[in-house]
Amino acid sequence: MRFPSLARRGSAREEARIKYALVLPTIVTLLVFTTYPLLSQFYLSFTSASIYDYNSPPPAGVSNYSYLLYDPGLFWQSGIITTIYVGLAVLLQLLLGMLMAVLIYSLKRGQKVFTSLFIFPMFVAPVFVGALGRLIFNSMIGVVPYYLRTFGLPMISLSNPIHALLLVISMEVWKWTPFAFIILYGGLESLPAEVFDAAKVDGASGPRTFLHVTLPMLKSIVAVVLIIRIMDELKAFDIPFILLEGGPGAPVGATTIFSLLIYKLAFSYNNFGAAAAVNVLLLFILLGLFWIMIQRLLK
Amino acid sequence: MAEEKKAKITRRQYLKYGAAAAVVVAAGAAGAAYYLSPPQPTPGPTSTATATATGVPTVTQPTSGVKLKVQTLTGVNSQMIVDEIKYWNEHYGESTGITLEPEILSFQGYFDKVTAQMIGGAKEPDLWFVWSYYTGAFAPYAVDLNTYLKDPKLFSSPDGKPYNRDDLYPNAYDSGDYKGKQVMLPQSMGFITTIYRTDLIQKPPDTWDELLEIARKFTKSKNPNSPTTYGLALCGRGPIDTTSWKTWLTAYWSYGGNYFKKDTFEPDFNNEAGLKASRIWATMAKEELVPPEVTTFAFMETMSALQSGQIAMILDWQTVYNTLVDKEKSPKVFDKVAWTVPPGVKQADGSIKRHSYMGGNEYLINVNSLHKEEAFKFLAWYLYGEGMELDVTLKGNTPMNRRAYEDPQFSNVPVIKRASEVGIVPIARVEPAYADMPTIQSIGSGALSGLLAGASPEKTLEIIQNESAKYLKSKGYF
Amino acid sequence: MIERISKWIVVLVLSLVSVFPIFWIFLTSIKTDAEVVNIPPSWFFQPTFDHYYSIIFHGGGAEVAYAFELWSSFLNSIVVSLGTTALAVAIGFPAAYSISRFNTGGRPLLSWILSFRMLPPIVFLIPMFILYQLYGLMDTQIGLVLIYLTFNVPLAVFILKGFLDDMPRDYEEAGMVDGCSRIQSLWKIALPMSGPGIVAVSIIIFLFSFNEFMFAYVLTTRNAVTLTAKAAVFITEYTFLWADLAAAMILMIVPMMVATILLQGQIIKGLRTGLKA
Repeated sequence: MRFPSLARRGSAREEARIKYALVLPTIVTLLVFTTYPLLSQFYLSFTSASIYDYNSPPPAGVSNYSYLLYDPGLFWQSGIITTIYVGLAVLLQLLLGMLMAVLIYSLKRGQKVFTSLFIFPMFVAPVFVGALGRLIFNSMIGVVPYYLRTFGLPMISLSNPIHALLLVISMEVWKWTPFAFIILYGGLESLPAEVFDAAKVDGASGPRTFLHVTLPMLKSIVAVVLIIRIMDELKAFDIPFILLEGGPGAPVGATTIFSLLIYKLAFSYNNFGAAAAVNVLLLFILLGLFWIMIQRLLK
Repeated sequence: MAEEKKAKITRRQYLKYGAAAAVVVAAGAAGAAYYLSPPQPTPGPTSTATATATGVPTVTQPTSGVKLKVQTLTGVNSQMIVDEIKYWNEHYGESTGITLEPEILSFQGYFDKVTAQMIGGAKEPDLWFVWSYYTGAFAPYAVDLNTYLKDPKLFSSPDGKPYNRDDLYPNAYDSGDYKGKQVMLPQSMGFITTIYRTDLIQKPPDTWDELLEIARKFTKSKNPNSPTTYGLALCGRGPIDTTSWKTWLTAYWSYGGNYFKKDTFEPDFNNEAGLKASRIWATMAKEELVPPEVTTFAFMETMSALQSGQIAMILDWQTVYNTLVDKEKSPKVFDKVAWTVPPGVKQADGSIKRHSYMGGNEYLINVNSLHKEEAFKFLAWYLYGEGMELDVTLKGNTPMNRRAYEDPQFSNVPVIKRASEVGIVPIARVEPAYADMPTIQSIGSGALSGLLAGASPEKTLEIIQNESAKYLKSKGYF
Repeated sequence: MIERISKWIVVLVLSLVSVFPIFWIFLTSIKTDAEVVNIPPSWFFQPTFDHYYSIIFHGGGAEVAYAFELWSSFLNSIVVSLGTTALAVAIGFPAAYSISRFNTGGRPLLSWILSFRMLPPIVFLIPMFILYQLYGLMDTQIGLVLIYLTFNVPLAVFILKGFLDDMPRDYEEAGMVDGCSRIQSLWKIALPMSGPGIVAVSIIIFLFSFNEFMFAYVLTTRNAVTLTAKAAVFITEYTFLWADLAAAMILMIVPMMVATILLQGQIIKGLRTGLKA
């Protein structure tokens, strides 16, 4: 991306110095605090560390990896659930977020009010959303089951694996859609107005303008939201954890996404080595995943 | 010409940005230095030892005040210590030179934090509240209390009157003993009990079969006239929550099951007793005598099930009884509940073999603490002396001290009276202490969660047996 | 016409879904303990503000052994969140600019930066605890800010890069033709025009830091405990004190709601500035 203007000014070296200087703080920040944890996870994954011998753990070769990948292959089981969970959650957030952004954008009045209302779910701490979920969906004293029963609607039961997964997904979607909304709306507002005027002059109607003009121009923002939400949902923890601890079912229950698997292995089954192995595997898989995603989605 | 000017601009810019960066770094360093400087020690009482009226010298170490940190969580038993700490500070703070400061945390994430603190070698707090299941796991990080129990200077009241080691029941010591090291001591024990509606049930079940019968009578789907929707509820959540395992053990033991093969650490669950206990569980689930969501029930949900008036009986920790009789909290049931021993198994001679899973709420002293002896001085008072008495009379605690149940001064405390009435203490039983107990509890709870969701008893037992055996074998237990 | 009405219906439905749970939380906070678990759920009842009173003035009441400290933890939350937001943007924007305009480090660098947002935070719990103990960062506000930065700087970089990518370079180029250097064009042109991105990122990072629980709970003891970690004391060993918890949640949410309402105009404008301004 050489601009003729720059070339005229010479000093490509100056440009190089600046551009590296600009990323330096980020790199330093990230390196300082993550080097040790990541290295220790790598090391731990080859041991069978427990609470009582964490600081001098007995080595375990690759047994953790075979436990996860081979017998009984917990990693794959959790992988399937995580894929479904992430896929659905992100898709819904993206669609609803986009819907919200477009609606607000096209409102003549009340933009301020409704924006504020849409953002509300972001204010609540996920920890407590999960805790309240236990109350709301409690079959004995919960609001939702009560009304479902009185109106004769099919019961939602937390002990049903599919319901449980859907419930967790809906709580995540409720909480995080405003995130997508804000970014997409910012993106919409960043678009130059001239494009829309030009399209109107050409006689394009609303939805067509959206699909053929707006959406392509928002491509990179949509890609950003997609990638970020995928990342966040991959590591979602608080809501699924408090609501159901990864159940129903064990050790890999119907809602045991990777982050919960790591927690369970480490703190319940007292197997820090296996938990670390999951981390290492995740790191490699996700790095590869993002490599591909960035290539295909960002320019 | 233009080149020179441009070059000068660049150099000046470098200087500008360099200076700005230097300022930022300096500010950052100053801030970091401020934050990284050790916190000022909190001042404690400076009084030294004084002789009391009886002429017996009080504790002299240390000469200037010591401030101990005690970490506990919010909860019925765990926060009793907060008031006793206040009492101690007021009455004995000066004379012993020991004051304490409680740190009260949330239950959510508490044991993860404690694990991190122990692994990280934290020097504070001096005293931790923990559950007895962690006796083996936390053993390396705790002080061996046996050394202090033998020290008459420490194992005595603030005025020097010695305490009686035998005041605590043997199984109290067992719950905190790991390979001879007394890792922790209990402030109170929780028992798995049957809590039932007295207006609906005159005679609580004596055997597991009776439990099922009564449950049938009070389940609407079996008995359309039943005033309650379900007859029974219990904890079925797992594997992070492990109450379901403890409830099942209560049944398993009553059928004669044992935890390990004799004199070994090889688990032995897949047997006749295990099968019978699991069949009871399977029947509960199959006949829908329990709500289907029971697989997601932890203490809180089980208790609120009874509170809501839709359940006739629950199997839960006796501790939740306090909330159930609170008029403000449980207006629907507060005057119609009672707790009693869990069901058992009728023996050939007509007696009933019962057990109740006992879980301890215990305290341990940090092996990295800088004030171990002072911590023990307080702990002794709290567990054997006046502290224990205050907990019983003022807060209705159920400690593991003989005095609480044998000394007439406590006989009017309702919970003590009831405990003696139903005879819960003699039948209380703990799991054998070994370091990986929490893992086996998790394995068990996870499998039982599946059992209540409809898995077969045989399959469940296989899972429990094989998983525990595999795990313990890999850790070198046998 | 139908389009207009259906648009409004959808907006109203979405607003309702967004707001209703919070309204319900508020209702819960003014019920008595008994009413909270009452079935059928009560919608009309005698409200009581006892829970708020107990939380604000009474340390949460005897049931949590007076463990709840509203003001000090609120202050900690604000300081930590503001600090994280400001620093994350300050560190992340230059990097975003560099990557967007020069493709610094190409895909490897971007993936590497992003990877730190991928891993579940649990991974970092015990190692961080050990590190913080070692460096005396335990129970400090700066300690929390630093760990939050580790998760949020990648986010800031990535989102801001996205906004910058969509922003035509013509303006910067024009500026440079007029005699600006690279740095100046960053500072004077790209930064102001990135208004929408910066506003969006700031809101998100602030809320994330404010509501974070795990690290705030484990890495603090007395001095730096945030409101989120403190409010969790209502989750006790045997029961959840629902009404008190709800009241604490409302207290956490209210300042943010008020700020949003007051700054409504600013937020929209902020999200709008840039090319349109």
